Amino acid sequence: MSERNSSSFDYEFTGSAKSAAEFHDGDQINTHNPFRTEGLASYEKGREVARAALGYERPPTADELKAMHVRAWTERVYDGLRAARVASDLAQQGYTQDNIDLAAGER
Amino acid sequence: MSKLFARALKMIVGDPGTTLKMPKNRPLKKLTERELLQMESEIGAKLFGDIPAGHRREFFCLDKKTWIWYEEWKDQKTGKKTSTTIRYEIHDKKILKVQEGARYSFIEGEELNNLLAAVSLYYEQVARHVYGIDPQTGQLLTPPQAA
Repeated sequence: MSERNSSSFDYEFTGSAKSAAEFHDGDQINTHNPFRTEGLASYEKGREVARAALGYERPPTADELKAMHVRAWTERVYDGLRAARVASDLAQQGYTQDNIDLAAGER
Repeated sequence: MSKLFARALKMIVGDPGTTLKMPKNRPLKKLTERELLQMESEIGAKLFGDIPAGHRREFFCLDKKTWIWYEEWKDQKTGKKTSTTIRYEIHDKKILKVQEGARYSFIEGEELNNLLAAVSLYYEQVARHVYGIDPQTGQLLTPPQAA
């Protein structure tokens, strides 16, 4: 009984293993399996393409460029002119240029 | 006698060594900033052409991320003073326009063009006329005058 079972098991196992081997030999359906390593890699690549297409990683639009220019000008006004204002204030109070530089650095 | 005189003089006029030391919190800092912002704003207001009669306009850079537009006028029908304040917030790639009544919108197109032109002109004119600085080189146009 046990022998029969054993042989039966062996036969089934061998049979199924053979089938799997045959299946892999064909190997056409599995190339589209996203859970295979290369499938995952191409999936990630696809996500990158999709991400770029959706606008997460793309060059700025014309309006975005203008907004970036506004930001740059604003920083010039605030940083550049504020620093100049400190120098101007201190100069009006009679400080020398050396002290103005020193004070600007301390602020 | 000379020591006493020196001490008395020091009490009256102060120590020259300490008066030249840079105080970290200058008491006049805020007032100076306000005055300068007001001067900047006077220039900023004129960037958009003539101000209509009876209107008062202000346009200035409040800080590194904010521009303020303020306009005030008398309503022709009611005679009441009306005003509007618009805040432009600088974001990474967009400019948010904040108006009264919790109205928010990212500006685009013509309005964005005009703001960009105004901001660059503001820098050039304010640098030159308020701070006496050449906007191209950043150098002082005239030497600072002591008060």
